[in-house]
Amino acid sequence: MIKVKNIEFHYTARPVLRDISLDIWPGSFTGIVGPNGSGKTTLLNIMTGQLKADSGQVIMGDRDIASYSIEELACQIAVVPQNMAIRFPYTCLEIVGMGRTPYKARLQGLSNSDLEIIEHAMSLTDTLGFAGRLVTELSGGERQRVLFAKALAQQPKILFLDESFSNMDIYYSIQCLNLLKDLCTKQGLTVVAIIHDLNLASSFCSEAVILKAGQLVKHGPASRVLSPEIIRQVFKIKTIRAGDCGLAVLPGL
Amino acid sequence: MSSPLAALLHRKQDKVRIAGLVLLVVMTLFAIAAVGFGRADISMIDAATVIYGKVSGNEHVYNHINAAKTAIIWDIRLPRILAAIAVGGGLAVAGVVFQALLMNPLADSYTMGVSTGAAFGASIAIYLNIFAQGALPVTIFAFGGAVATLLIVMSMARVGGYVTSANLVIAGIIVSSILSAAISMVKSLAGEQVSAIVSWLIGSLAAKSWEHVVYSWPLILAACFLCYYYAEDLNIVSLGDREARSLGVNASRLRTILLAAGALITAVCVAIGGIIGFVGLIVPHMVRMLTGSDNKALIPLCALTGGLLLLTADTFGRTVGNVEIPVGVLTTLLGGPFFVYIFRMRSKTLG
Repeated sequence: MIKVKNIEFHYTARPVLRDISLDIWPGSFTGIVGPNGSGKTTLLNIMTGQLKADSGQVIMGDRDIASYSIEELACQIAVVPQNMAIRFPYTCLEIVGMGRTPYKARLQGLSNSDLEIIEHAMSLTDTLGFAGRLVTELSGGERQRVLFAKALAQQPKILFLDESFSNMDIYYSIQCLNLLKDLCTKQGLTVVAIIHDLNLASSFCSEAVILKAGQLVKHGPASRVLSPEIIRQVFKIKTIRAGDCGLAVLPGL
Repeated sequence: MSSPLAALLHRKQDKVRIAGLVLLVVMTLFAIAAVGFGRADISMIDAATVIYGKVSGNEHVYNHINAAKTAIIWDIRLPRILAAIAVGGGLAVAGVVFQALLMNPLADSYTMGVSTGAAFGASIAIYLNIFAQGALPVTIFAFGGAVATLLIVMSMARVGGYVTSANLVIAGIIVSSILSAAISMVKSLAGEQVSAIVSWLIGSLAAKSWEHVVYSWPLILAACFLCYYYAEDLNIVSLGDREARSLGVNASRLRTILLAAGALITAVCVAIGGIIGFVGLIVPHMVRMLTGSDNKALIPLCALTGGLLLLTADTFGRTVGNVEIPVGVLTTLLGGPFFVYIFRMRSKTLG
């Protein structure tokens, strides 16, 4: 599990995160939502150890995240980035294969068990058909799925996603979210995802964190946190409940 | 296991192995053939005989060939050919490494200003050797110039802790032109002795002796092996520092190690051959189009292709026409337009 304790962060003079504390439980699927500039990505970067907070602590397991070497972290945490430019034409197999790096010695090729793990990750994300194709020739959404497969091949205990579905069509967004939910409930994977779409967040996440202007507005079970009242306060939009756990955004403020 | 992924992997590995083997055989044969090319008429058989005899230490094998011919083969042409292979291979590998590290397909030791830095260091050494009767080692000065330039360009290009490719190209051009002016100044200070610097800067492999081969091969080979050792890390760093970090690769450490290796290669190449442009750009692009971007395959294949290319260019330059064309002039004259061509092809296929 991850414990975030009293995190503060500033870019030059502007405070970005103010006194954030929250606990992420193993096997939970936490959605981070909030308006633009509310500090979502900064919080994610601090939780993954990419950024150092000005004060406060992030505890993973029973140690401060700063005490892990980056090799150790790579066996625990995987990140699916938002929109990554890939300048060199690697094949998708090469890209997903890079996910095995934390477990390999240098110059040691992919073993058969590595290949099995890669194949499994690629079939889960429906990217096996791309294996031999160049990643630079794929569409944005297809590339995101390949990067998702790479993160799964890394076999992390905690998976972070930074608006990773923004380029995918709705079919694959739902496929991937279903897959993540399955991995959480069946294999105990912990997922922390920044999600823009409130409807998707409320339908798939077990927990939700709402940030506004660098402050934690609410953290708890998604069904309770993502309520039309709280969303109206934070985003200034109208929503209504739809179905068991969904939300529908109404056009017009 | 016979999954489609394993098959895909093996097909790629086979392709790389075959390409490597073919290049190695072609390069060896051409190197022997090239000994036979030139103004003095020497047959390939004589060339092979002398090389075999010298390498095996058996003088009887080439006793029947006259001493002048033996000297041309062993002391003049062969070292030059080996120097061409080392310099060509080295420049190509340095190009691959710079491109991946800086996430910029346009980077090489030439566009990065590192070559010019090495040339500046070397021309200072030559100048002082002439006028202060010094015996300064040109290679070490070239290396100092290369490393200093690299550090300056990198620090100029770093904005907000991140080196962007656009900044890098601009910084490279600026530093490179300042250094070119500095080189011109050294040249004009040299007065009548200017030809020593000019003929060295122009990028030529003429009059390379065993002494050059003996120090360049081990240094370039060692640096290339170091780059190969980190090839997989290089793949990951070419996706960006953030990505590298989340896969457990320390990008800034790798960058320090491999930029130093690239600068060493560049310095040795420049110290031997002067400025030889475009090899570090063209070869990686050609090989990448053929076998993909995996640096584990690219580094050895580029070393072989670069060696073969520069050997071909140098042999062409010294055998065609009455006056020898310096290889640096040739690679830039032919390589520049050719690079424009492959770059256009590449941008077309990538949309």
